[in-house]
Amino acid sequence: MGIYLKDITLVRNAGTPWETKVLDSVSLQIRPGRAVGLVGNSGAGKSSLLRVIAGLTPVTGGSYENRLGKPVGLVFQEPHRGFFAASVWDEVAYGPESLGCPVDEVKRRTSEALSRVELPPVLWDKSPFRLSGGEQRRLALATALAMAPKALLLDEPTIGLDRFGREMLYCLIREERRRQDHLVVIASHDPELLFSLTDELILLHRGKLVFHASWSAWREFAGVLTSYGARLPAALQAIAKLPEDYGLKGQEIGTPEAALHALKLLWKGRCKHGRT
Amino acid sequence: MAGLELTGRYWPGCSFWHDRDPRTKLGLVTGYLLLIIGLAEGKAQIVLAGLLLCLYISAKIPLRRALGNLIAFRWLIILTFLANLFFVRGATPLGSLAFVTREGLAAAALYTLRLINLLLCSFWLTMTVRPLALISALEKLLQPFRSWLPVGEFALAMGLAVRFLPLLLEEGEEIRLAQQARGAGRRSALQNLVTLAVPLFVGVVRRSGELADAMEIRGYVPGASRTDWAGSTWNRRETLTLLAGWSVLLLLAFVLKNL
Repeated sequence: MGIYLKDITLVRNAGTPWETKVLDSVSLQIRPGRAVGLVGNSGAGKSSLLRVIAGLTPVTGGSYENRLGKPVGLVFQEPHRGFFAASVWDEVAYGPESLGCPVDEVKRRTSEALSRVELPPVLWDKSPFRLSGGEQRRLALATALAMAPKALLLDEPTIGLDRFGREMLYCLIREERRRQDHLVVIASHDPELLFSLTDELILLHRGKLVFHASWSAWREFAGVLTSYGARLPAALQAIAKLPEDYGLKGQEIGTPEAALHALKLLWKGRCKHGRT
Repeated sequence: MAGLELTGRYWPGCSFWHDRDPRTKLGLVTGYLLLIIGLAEGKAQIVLAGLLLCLYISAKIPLRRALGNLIAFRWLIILTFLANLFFVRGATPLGSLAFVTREGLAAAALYTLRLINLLLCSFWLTMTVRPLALISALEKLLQPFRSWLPVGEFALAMGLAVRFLPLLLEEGEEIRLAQQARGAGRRSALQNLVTLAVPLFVGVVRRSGELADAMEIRGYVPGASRTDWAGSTWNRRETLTLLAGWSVLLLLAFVLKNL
């Protein structure tokens, strides 16, 4: 089960003076029930890798295998560029319609997806192009959710979202993560988002996979991550700056909750020893 | 978006005609267009024009708006008038102008009025039916021919073209404004056109690729059958409207023929 990529190479404009290697021998395995974060500078190949994982882009070399099955939901970085229907409702219904769901099922899935992303019914008849940036992002998410995807792939999902939108997104992804046979991949520049919502982290640099590790191994990859221009989440940055005698070295801190707990313990210790 | 308004654009409203199934309106408009083409009398065309204006009023579309659509076709209308005025030969010269005859003037008036009627009738349809609903109606009407016509693909291509026309206009306007902000106004009209066309073309190609990806990820397979959640909205009321409309048109044809 899962999605398997072996030695994936993706070349654009092959055989021309504009030839560009977008992905270079990328191998990875994403297992169901896991959430993976994709990080890297602009142009590292994050969006291209997401498209390959979604099975949208035919690869130049290597092998791709999706043992999870379809459908796969992908929310693009610029969601409004993927809209084409006359209304918000039609846009969301398009996916279930294409899957051949019965009419009642199409209606149920559409209204459910729109409610999950908190788009009020008053907007359902509006043109998708008339929505605000944040609403368009919610709509794009709803189009993916309506297909009940086995894998949910999100490309920079928080751009344009306000605080409530971010909270909604966090809740949604946590719900998706509870489903053991599903997987989530998020490409983002936001370390807090990735630390909160993913189990593993992949660093890409100029199309090459630098590392693929669990957050619990953050001490090992922290140096590499920062050397490539990416940032550690604030909680881990704080812990990383502590001297060794604070006794956290041996503790496994792979989630925001564990990091917070560790910081609370440290704070209590400081108060106890009169070092505030 | 000033100056980039689409001719015959859908006019959102709540009227008897807005509520009708697009196929009913398509059927009535087809009949009306045949009547306009079939009747070669100026008086008949005046009556048909009057009736068209009544249709606009009953659809709660401002007449100024409806007639304003003709501005985009002003050169065609003027050309039709002048061509008929000068090239239709007749026996009765009009006053001292030897090259203009009464017959020419009559033909010019008739054909110009006929052209205006044809345009107004088409605009009435596009202003009371959303473009995608119209295409969907065409798709439904062409269903019997689907075994030897790619009806689904045709409807999709038409739908996307119609859907993206206003967006392309908006995008073109954005590029124009961005260039204007960087002093593009000082260049010649041709240079401005080239600098507008190139990014617009690149944008269209890019958008079409992204659109194809978006459709594919949402399960679109060319030629595959899909569910239509809206189903058919055809009911007895539509049948009655269509039959009543055609009866009126037949009656009109009979009366106007004998005017």
